[in-house]
Amino acid sequence: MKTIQQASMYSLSIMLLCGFLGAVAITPDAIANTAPRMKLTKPSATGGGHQLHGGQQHGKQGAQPQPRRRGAGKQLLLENGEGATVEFWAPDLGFQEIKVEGGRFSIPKPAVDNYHAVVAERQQGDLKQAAVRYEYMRGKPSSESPSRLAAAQKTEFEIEPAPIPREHSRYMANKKWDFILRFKGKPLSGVPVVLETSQGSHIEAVSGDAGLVQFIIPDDFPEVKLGRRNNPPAELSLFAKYKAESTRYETTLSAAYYVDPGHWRSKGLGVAVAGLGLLAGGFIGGIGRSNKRGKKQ
Amino acid sequence: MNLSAIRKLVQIAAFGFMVYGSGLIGYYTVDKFSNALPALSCAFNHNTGDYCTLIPFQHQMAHRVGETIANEGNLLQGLIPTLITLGTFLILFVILSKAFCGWICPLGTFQELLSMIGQKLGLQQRKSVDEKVVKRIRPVKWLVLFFLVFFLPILTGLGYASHDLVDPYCKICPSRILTTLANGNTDQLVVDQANPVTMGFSIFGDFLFGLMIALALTVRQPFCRICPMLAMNATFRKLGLLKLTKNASSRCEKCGLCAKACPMDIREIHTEMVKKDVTFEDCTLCGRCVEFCPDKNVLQLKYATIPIFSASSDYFKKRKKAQKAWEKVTLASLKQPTVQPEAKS
Repeated sequence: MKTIQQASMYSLSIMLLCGFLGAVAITPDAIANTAPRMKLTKPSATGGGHQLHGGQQHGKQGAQPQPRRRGAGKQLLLENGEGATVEFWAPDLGFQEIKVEGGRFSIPKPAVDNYHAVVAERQQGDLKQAAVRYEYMRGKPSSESPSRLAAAQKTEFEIEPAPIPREHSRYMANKKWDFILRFKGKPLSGVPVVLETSQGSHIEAVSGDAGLVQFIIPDDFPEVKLGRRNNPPAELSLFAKYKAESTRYETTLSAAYYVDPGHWRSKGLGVAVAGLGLLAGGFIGGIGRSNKRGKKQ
Repeated sequence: MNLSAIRKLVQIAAFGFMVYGSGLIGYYTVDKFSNALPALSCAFNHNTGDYCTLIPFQHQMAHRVGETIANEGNLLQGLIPTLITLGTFLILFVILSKAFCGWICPLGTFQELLSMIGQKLGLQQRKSVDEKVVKRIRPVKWLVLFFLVFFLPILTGLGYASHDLVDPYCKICPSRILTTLANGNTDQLVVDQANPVTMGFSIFGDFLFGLMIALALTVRQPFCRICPMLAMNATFRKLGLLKLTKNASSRCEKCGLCAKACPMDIREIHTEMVKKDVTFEDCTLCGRCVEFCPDKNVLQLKYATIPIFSASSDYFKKRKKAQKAWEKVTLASLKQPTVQPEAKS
């Protein structure tokens, strides 16, 4: 009897604790967005490993580097996007539809290099959802500026990176990045935008004048090793929602982001070494001699 | 307005474009002016108007040439990007020749600015570097070009060197630190402790940056003397339309003002009596030697055989006077109290 009572007490405690933890875990934003967010991610980012540019696998002990793959072959995953149409946009704004089966798909071989956009769209009743992701592709040199692709209206409600990290550059933690929120091609101000990372960070901001919203990407990598190539990227996504007339719009922009190299780069030491160089230069150049002469005079 | 003043204005405009030009032409690589500029305009600076040609060369050596050889691929195919970069570089180089060093390069401009500051601070200026030292230093730029721009990146592509050596010259280039600092970005003035290679190169780069600043206060153009871009430009100097020419006169032997005026201490401008084309490997086509030549038409800057600036005695007199007036004004001279006649009485 006593045991049953104890068991009931334990069960009740556990239920209460779970309820409490559940309440804590659900943020106000999450409550407001009951529909799962549609977003485009790298399959490896959600599957435990990570993938760097060029298809090199990292993050697994003993994993051998894979040969660099040029052009096609990048795999993406459309999360919570059943029934969505997916388009692949080239830098010259030409686009083609991509077949998606089970959420996972390969980006087709591009005609030219530089940034391309993958755009997923879906309408369910009064809800229109969109997900955008920019991927750098290798190929013949493109003469089109990525600014044209970023600024083009690819879907009705869109978060535009302003700018996309430059070719061979990337989103870095601890750096401030600008984005522009647009509705039907026009900047939209006063709308909340959420940044979430695959490491669990959650930041909110509101779009200001000209739809501009700024985020400092959180430095939330749990384990940082020395050197960029030893640290796999994580995933970030920006999410916003908006209601116009009787339609609800939701949009997501996702990208990979990397560890802040400040973890293994010392500015203090850099200044100190440059200072030593200054001293050495002063000695070689005879600045000291010159000053002594000046004092004597 | 004398040639030096015009050059200063061009240098300031070029510095603005090379260091802050992305606002004018665009942020992305594809927006840049050429991506193969014969001057040290750094791609690490995200606001640059153009990229120095040494950046694509290093990457192409590693990723295209080195990797193609390693994978036993078609070498000609691997060389195509390099040939495109070289072609672009040559088109620009033919137009302005080595004047990219003396008129366009932001690092050259910065060193001249430091020299001016040193002079105004009253620091003793070395009129010329010892001939033996100059001769010893000259091969360094060729070694830097060969080892850091071509050899080490190819070794990386072949898999014999660390991946951190894809762009070894960029890792020590003072223009990388200067142009990023000029944009308020301190990310390049660091010691990178990721591994011994990055640490060694970053320490050397930072030290070189400090050394260059201090030396430039008293010695003219210290880094230019070892710059691989100077070597690169020297390789193709016969192709440039702009040339320095000399019609030696009997008075040349006793004069030597041209060599004294030369910021690169090229004494051969003075001693050469036979050759017409005196665009020597270290020449930056700044034109100072022509300005300070007192004999008519002995030294000339010619563009496609047409003289565009020639030495003359009248110009020389005016220029010398202007130079003296300029050198007279120093911080110390400004501090000296002026003696009033009343005070004497």
